[in-house]
Amino acid sequence: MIIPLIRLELRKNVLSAASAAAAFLVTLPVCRLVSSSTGLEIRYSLDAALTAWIILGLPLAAALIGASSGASSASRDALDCEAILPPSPGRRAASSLAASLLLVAAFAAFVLVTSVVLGSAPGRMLAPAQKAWGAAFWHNLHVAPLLALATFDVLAGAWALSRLIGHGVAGGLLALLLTSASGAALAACFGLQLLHHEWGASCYAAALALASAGALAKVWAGALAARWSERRSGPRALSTSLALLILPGAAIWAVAGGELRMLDAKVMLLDYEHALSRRPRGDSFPRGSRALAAAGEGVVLKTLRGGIVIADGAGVRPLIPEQNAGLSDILLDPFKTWIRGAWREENGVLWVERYVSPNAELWRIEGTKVESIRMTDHGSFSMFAGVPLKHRYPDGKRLLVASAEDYFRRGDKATWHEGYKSFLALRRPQAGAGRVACAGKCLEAKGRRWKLPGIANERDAVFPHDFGGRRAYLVPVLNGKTWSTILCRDDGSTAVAWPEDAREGTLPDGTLFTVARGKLWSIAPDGKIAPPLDLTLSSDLSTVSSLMRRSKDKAWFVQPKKLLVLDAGGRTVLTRPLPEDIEDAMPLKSGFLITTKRSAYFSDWDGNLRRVENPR
Amino acid sequence: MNALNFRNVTRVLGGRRVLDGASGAAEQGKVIGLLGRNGEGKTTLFKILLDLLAADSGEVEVLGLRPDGSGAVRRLTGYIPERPAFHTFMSVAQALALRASLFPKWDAARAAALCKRLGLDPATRLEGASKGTLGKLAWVCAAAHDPALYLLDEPTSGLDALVREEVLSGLVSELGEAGKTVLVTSHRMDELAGLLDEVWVMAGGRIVAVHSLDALRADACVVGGRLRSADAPPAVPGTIALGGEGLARSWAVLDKTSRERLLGCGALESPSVEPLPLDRAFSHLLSLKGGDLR
Repeated sequence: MIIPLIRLELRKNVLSAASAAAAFLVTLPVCRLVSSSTGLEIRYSLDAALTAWIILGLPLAAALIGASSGASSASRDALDCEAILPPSPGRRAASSLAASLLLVAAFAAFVLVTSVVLGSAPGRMLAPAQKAWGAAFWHNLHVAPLLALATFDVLAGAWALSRLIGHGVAGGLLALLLTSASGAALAACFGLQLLHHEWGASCYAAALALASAGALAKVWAGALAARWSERRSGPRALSTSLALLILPGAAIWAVAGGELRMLDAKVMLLDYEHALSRRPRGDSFPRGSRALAAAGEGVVLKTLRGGIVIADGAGVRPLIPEQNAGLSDILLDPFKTWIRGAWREENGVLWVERYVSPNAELWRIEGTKVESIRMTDHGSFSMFAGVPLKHRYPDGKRLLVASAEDYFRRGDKATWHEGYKSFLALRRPQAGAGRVACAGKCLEAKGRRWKLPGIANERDAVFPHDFGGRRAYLVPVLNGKTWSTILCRDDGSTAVAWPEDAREGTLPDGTLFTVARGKLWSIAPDGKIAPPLDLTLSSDLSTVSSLMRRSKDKAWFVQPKKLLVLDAGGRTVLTRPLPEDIEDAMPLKSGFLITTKRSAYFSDWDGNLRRVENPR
Repeated sequence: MNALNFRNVTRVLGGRRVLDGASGAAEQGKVIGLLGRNGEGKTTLFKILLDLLAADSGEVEVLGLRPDGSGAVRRLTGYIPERPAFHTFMSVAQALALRASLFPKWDAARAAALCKRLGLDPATRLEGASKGTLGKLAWVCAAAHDPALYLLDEPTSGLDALVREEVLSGLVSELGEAGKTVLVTSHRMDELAGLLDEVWVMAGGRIVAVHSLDALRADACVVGGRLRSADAPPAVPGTIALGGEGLARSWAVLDKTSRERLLGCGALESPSVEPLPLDRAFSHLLSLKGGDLR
């Protein structure tokens, strides 16, 4: 009995499917026009049009056909003609939906066959997007079944809503809205699972099941609307049908929100790079953007939601509130927020630079007092993403940033100044910097002069180091063909700190160090030059090691998978296991902090490790 | 066995109680006229009997089936709606073909014969078809599957005089002779008077009176007379006061018992009794309100 009804519904709704097909066919000559007017090869415009028809056109056609079918079967004319026939309202509703489904399937087949004949295969058409987002992304997404589900969902929604409210256009638009909302929630679940799978994010399957159930619930809602609206009246039919239409989508959002809460509690750091290859490390997602050391006092970390926290041996405390706490922000623009820089002044004031699209922020944190300066001129700001910390200086409540040739002060708006020398001229007196003079043979600072055992470069400013309240300067000098770095103490004496012109590193306790000629050279916080540690003596030491601490007779190194402590003779006195995927190791005064892809850990000098928990 | 049984049926539409405890029973093979003014609930009652609407309360049984939303009742029923409607993109033949695929007992030969009898060309397109064409097609659709029960809502509406005559003296008469149960409404019930076995009077959403046509023909009368006292006009159930001048009064009386009560109450001097023609009896029945005859 249902086949004659389906035939009847096909006859009634063939016009809407024909309209969609006509619109599709009109696209093809339009592609030729576009190609001839823009000079674009026709296969590209054709591929673009066919891809758009497959991805957007099919759901839109489903909305048109479903809405037309739903509205026409609920119309007074149709009821007058058909209600008196033997089939029940439920059967007539099923026939109406089945006919819509057949028309959409026929239209989809028409579009797909035309695409195969005239254009590239759909897979090839998606190739640029696949390249941009990474093959794994598309492999996991299962585009074709999702597209089919979305098309069916729109069709069922448009049909049910049009039946329910008796208006095709409104029903179709509402259905597109509902499917878009469910689709966004599904995408959120997919994104969360893709990006955080190793943390147990597994909501996608549940969301997919809910989305499928939601599409079927829409069919049910339409059938209920048909049965109840014809035979009964009252709000029960309307409220039940509306609940069936809305609740599955709301449930998917609830699943996504629940998953985000779970991740928020478990995941410390943001890391999208392993899943999405479109932003290579070191390009627009600079290294160190997730965690930066802040002068030994702690480590500034960016959390999953873009908040900034500082972690140290005592735990974690929030510094800057989350700016983009929404699920969509995290998923749609995971790179929206990152840390640009973090450093601490001698007086304890902490400075943090954070980029929050489209602006940048400079935060000045003094004890519990937190001030922010929003900088709108982020274009010039972004030019200095890679500027070494050494060339960023607080200047009152502004920031001074220097490049090799220029510098600018930054407050509310960047102000440019020309010339690196003028930057040095500004910076030198502030910092008590020295100046190489006597044709490179002496150093002058604060009215004192040191005679250098060789020739130094006159161009560079020489900034002082503080050793227990006493200033000293490190100056690389060339003596014959040999470079060495000379320590100029404030008592007027000079000494060779280490051979070669090796850039120094600073440890939180004030120790300066460098590695040269296979040895670790260091100057203790009191200004005494320590005997070098021969690194070649240890067979345990990896070439990929970071110095965390240097005491009188020991050195602490973090290397892949372990903490290694050597004595003055290069013998191993302590090893402790560390996580395998260490990305950064940052020394603090009381221990060191390491970050992996998603977590941060604090270790004391004995190697006792604990995970840094998100304070949320 | 009754073809139709319904008891205490209520139904609210648009906040108005259209059916308010309607009860009735139709014996198989009876031709029943359903009499009532516009808006008294006749069409709603038909829709409930056809399972097109659900009753809010009450019990309904049609040909032994309870209307449950499945539409099974409609397979066994021939229905002519007040305003027949068909898909305008179809022809008469296509409309009949659709029904042939939906009614299990559809008889194509019978349909063809009915078309011929009513002068309905199967090739006629239904877009812009006349009211008469639609009315004829409705008759063919209602009768071609030889149902046991006919629900006819103004079945001669829109038909020209010749076809109306054919329908009334031919079709309806044959249905009665063939033992089919027919429930029919018409604003011109007098046309059907010769065919009816009973007339049900519907008012205020209820069946307020049931009369056998034979009894109505025999007993319906106008009783007139002069009141003995203007202060105490008689109030006899089953009578309809027609008014009068001074102390002269007359009543339409629709059954024998009421007539005897009115004549025996002693309130009238020299009462007269005149037969009441059926068309005027129907008119008086139409004026009844719910509770008038209780």
